[in-house]
This record gives sequence, structure tokens and C-alpha cells, in this order.
Amino acid sequence: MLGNRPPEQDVAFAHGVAHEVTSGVSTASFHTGSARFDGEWAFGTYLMATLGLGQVVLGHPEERARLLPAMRQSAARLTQNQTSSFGTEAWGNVGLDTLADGHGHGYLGYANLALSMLRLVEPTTPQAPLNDQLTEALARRLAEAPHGLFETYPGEAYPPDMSMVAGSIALHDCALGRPERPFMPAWRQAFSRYVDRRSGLLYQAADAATGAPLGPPRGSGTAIAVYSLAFADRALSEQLYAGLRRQAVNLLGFGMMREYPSEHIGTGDIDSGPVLFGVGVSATGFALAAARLHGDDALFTRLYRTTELFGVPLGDSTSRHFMSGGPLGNAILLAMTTASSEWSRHCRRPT
Amino acid sequence: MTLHKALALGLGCALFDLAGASLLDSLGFVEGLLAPNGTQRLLLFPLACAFYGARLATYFALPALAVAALVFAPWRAHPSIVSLPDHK
Repeated sequence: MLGNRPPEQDVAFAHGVAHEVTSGVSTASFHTGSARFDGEWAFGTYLMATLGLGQVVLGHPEERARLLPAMRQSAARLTQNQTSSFGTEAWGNVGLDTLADGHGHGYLGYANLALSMLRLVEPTTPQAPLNDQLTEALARRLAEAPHGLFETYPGEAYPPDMSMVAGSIALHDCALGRPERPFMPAWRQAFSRYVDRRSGLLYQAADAATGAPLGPPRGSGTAIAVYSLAFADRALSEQLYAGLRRQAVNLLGFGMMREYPSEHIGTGDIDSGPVLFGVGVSATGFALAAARLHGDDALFTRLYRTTELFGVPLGDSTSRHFMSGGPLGNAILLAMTTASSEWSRHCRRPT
Repeated sequence: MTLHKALALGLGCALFDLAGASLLDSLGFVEGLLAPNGTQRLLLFPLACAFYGARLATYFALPALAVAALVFAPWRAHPSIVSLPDHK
């Protein structure tokens, strides 16, 4: 029956993704036609696999010994210079080598969220020093950003990426038992300008120098921000979810999410994936996590039904994957379908 | 369509759904569609269309056909049950 999802499937799916990432995923695994996007997809695969595996380990501690090696390996590959070569090419310097005095490289917030998840699961991880340095560098850049936004690539800044940066800092501090950073209330206020008052959705792009939104607000960016902000500010995540919820489409019990608000007609791109009749693939996939995190079981079931219909689950009780997912799609679906607030129960107590 | 034919078609589509999923998976469906190699796409694209057609039919069209065949089965067996009076 489509949409029926027993909890033990999480573990089997985690093993499927663990197998996929340990088999080796690289930029050569993707052929988007753009070297930057091939790199981003490899980066995204390791990022989402690390997050998803971490969430499954936190929810199923009995699987820790079997899944942690894949999680470690995924995080290690995520932080190899080769994996983020798309950022190096854009900036002309290696993001991880210029943490102390560099700027920009907003995509590193994604890597840091994965490292912070690993830190929470395994406080003694060899990645801990890098997680500390990355967190401090991103926190400094976010605190210094005049409009709560710094660049991902030269001349390109994206509010959803800043939600990842904020989430990664908060999860790092949770893992270490540290209080909220003093700049966070001001950042939260600055960030709220990127929420479209009319639709309740987050603008996908903005000008870092002026804070002016660029282009329409969108479902895919809003949905991923609902997920990442849940680590930093649950109220803000919930506010965005209220807007995202209005994008839901229900067709014969199958749930989908519109990429653009009703007054906009837009096409698909590398962020949204294909957009068919206004419905976006990425928005639909990321909304799985948003619905789960905000206890919207009815929407989650409808979205998952659609995922099963078009994703085509294969495998057995020991290992599962989606036929049409590929390495990136499966890693994203693992992270999105296993998202929960379980992490907050594992925060270290403040000393 | 008779109930017999609807069930046979349903079984065929369901089997194609199962076998097609495994076949596409073993052929590397997503990687193949994204690959710059055109010949792989030429094979995968029609196969994927046929697969998704059978999958959608299995879940939506065929159950409706089977129910319709079941509802009309008595009429097919005995058309006189619902025949209109002959006005001569």
C-alpha cells in the first residue's frame, strides 16, 4: 500500500544509502552538463547521507556500530578539497583553507551542518577541530553580514544557505553544550526580511550588500530552510512552514508542493528540479522533512505516497533504496524522511 | 472489458511494474538518463515511459476497470436483465 511506512524501513533505507556512499560517489557520477552542478551534487550526496545516517543512529542507537563507519566516511569525503572544488573554482581559493581570514563560501554551511551532526553522534570524531574552525568562521561571517546574508559564490547570496549556516552553528553548539550566540537575535530579525509577507515563503536569492530580495520566493528554498532552521530557531522554522503548507497540492490523496506562489509562473532549475504543472520535485522532497518536523502527519503521508509512486522503492528488510533516486536522491530522501527533533535530546548539558 | 481480461491485464502490468523496476535499477536509471552517452538514454527513456505507464495503470486505471467489469458482469451474462421494453 503506497504511503504506508513502518519505522523499521528507516534502518533498511539507511543501510541502502550507506552502501551507496561507501561504494564511492564523485563528481564523475553526475552528468548535469555543468562542472559546478556535478560538484554540488556529489557534495549534496555526502552531506545528506551524513545527516540522514546521523538521524537514524540517534533514533536507533542499536544501529550505531553498523552505520557510524559509513557516516564517518561520508563526512570525510564531504570535507575533501576535491568535493568542494566547485566552490574553489568560483572563489579562486579553497574555502576550508581560508577559514580564519576569508569571506563568502556560504555553501560551507551545508558541510558544517553535516559535521555538527557527526559531532553530536560521535563527540570524539577526528573532524571535531575542523567543525570548530568552520563554525567559528561561519559565525563570524554571519555576525558581520550587514543584512544577515553573506555570499555563497561571488555576487550570489541565498537566504536558504544562511539558514543552513545558522542551523550548523546551533547544532555545533548543542553538541558542545554552549548557549546561543549573542548575534543570533539580531540575525533572526535581519533574516525575517527574506520572508515574503504575502506568500509566507522564503526568497531564494538576495543581494548581500543591500539585503534586497532577488527573484520570487520559492517552495524548494523554503522547505530546506524549514529543515535547517529547526536546529536553530523552531519558531522561525514553524513560521516558514505555515507559508510552505499553503503550497501543498492534494491530487487523489497524492501530495505535491508548488515551487512558486500562485501569482508567479516559473520554470525548473538546478535548485527546484523539474517543475511540472507548477509542482516542484525538490520542494516536494524537502517538504517531507518539514511536515515530519512540524507534526503534520497527514501531509507527510500524502507526500510519501507520491514519493513511493514515482520513486519506486526496491530492496528488502535489510537494505532499501529508491529506483529513481540515484545517489543524491536517495541521500536526500533518507535525510528528509528521517528528520525529527531527536537531536535535541542529545545536546550536551551546558557546563 | 470482461473481468477475466481486466484481471489478466492487471496481472501483466503488475508483473511489468515489478520486473521493470528491477531492470531499470540494474541499468542505472538516473545515472543513465543524466549520462552524456546518447545511446544509453535512447534505451532508458522508452523503457522508463513504458514502466511508468504500467505502474500508473496498475495503481489507477486497472483497479477501476476491474471494478467496472465486476459491476457489469451480471449484465454481460444476462443482457435481458436490463433490456428496455420493446415498443412495437
